[in-house]
Amino acid sequence: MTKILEIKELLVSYYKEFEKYINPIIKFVFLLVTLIQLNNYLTQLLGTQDITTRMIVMVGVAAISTFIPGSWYIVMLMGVVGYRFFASGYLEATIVVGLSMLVVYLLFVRLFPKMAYFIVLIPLSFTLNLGYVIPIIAGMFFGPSTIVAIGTGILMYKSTDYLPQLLTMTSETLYDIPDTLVAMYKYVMEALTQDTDMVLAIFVFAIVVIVTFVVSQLEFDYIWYIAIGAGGLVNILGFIIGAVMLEVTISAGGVIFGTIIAVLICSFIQFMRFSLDYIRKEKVQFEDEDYYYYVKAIPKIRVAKSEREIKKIK
Amino acid sequence: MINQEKTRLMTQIAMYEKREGKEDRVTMTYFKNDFVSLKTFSLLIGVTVALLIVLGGDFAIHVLDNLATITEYDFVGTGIKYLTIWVIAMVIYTVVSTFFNRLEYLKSEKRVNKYQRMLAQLDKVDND
Repeated sequence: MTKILEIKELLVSYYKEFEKYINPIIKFVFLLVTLIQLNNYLTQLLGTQDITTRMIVMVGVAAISTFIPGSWYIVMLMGVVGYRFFASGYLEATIVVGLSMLVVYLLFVRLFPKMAYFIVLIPLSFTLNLGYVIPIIAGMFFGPSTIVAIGTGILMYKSTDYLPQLLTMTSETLYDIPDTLVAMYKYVMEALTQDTDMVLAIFVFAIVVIVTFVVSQLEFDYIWYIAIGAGGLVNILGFIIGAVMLEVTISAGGVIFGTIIAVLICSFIQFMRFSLDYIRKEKVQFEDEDYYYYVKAIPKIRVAKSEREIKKIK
Repeated sequence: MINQEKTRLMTQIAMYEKREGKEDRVTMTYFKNDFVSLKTFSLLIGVTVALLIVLGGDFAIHVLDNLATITEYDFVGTGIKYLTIWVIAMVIYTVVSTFFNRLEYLKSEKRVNKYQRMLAQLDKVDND
């Protein structure tokens, strides 16, 4: 245990030292991976490649996106999707997908713009088979305001199942375009309203976020780990009971195994969290009548206090 | 001779101005109700546009499916249904947006009050 704590303190001290560079690099890597995954999926779906699939373009876009807010990055990704559809010659699909993304942006992304990254995190984590990590982390560190973003992320992820069918709907002549658009709209609405799998996932993840958040606010020893465990338990029970009630086919073993992995990952993040703290190294400068000040403020590295201690005095 | 207390205060003030200070300065140019109203109104405009797209598509489907009997189509009933959906959406989004924007304003206000207390403290140290 002492060795683990020593390693932890070493990692934390390195992080604190190079935090100014590490944070933008992590963000850049995350954005680049998202863009690559998206482009790979679209290439597979559309069967075409263009300028947006070139690595140098993706690296450039990810680099620029490192400095813009999360909601703008979502808009940029939507633009990439729309452009790929248009460049591949699917005009009707471009219109329907474009309008759908606009609706999603206006209804959900603008509601909690600061939580926009969760919309991207959900599909990314599902492709890495780590989908159950996100609601627990969201409940622990960000609160119930992430529910809308998580639900939107699940909606975006599940809607990729409908795109192949959508692409088969094309118009023979220009006059057929309105009918094709209406048929596509009908298909999308029916698919979304009948997708009990998606409804179950959104509902269960929302409950997990709320339960994890509420439990983490209590004043008990080791409450953070209890909250993570509670979130995991609710996730397992939610999916199994929900699957029975909604007659959805799920892999119970997969849910249980995935949740256990998620709980372990979240516990590790929690273990590291308190040492990382929220205060960053800062460089500021100012002046008064007598001096110019160039100040470097370095936060104190506290010894990890991963659990709250409650002393009861009788 | 550098006054340590003064340097500590000025450093904290400078750090705040560099981080949340810019955003709080913009927020504090509004009264609380104006800030909440503006944010909520902007959101509701977007929601209305989104609903126009969704309900417009739904209307197009109904019209095209009932083209042969269009004169008998219940436009009033459909209109009332859409209006009800719009009103419900407006109420939900207004409640949620008001709650969270109010919370954001209060957090900004708290930070600005702390900033002003630090400025007052700095002024006191300077005059001593």
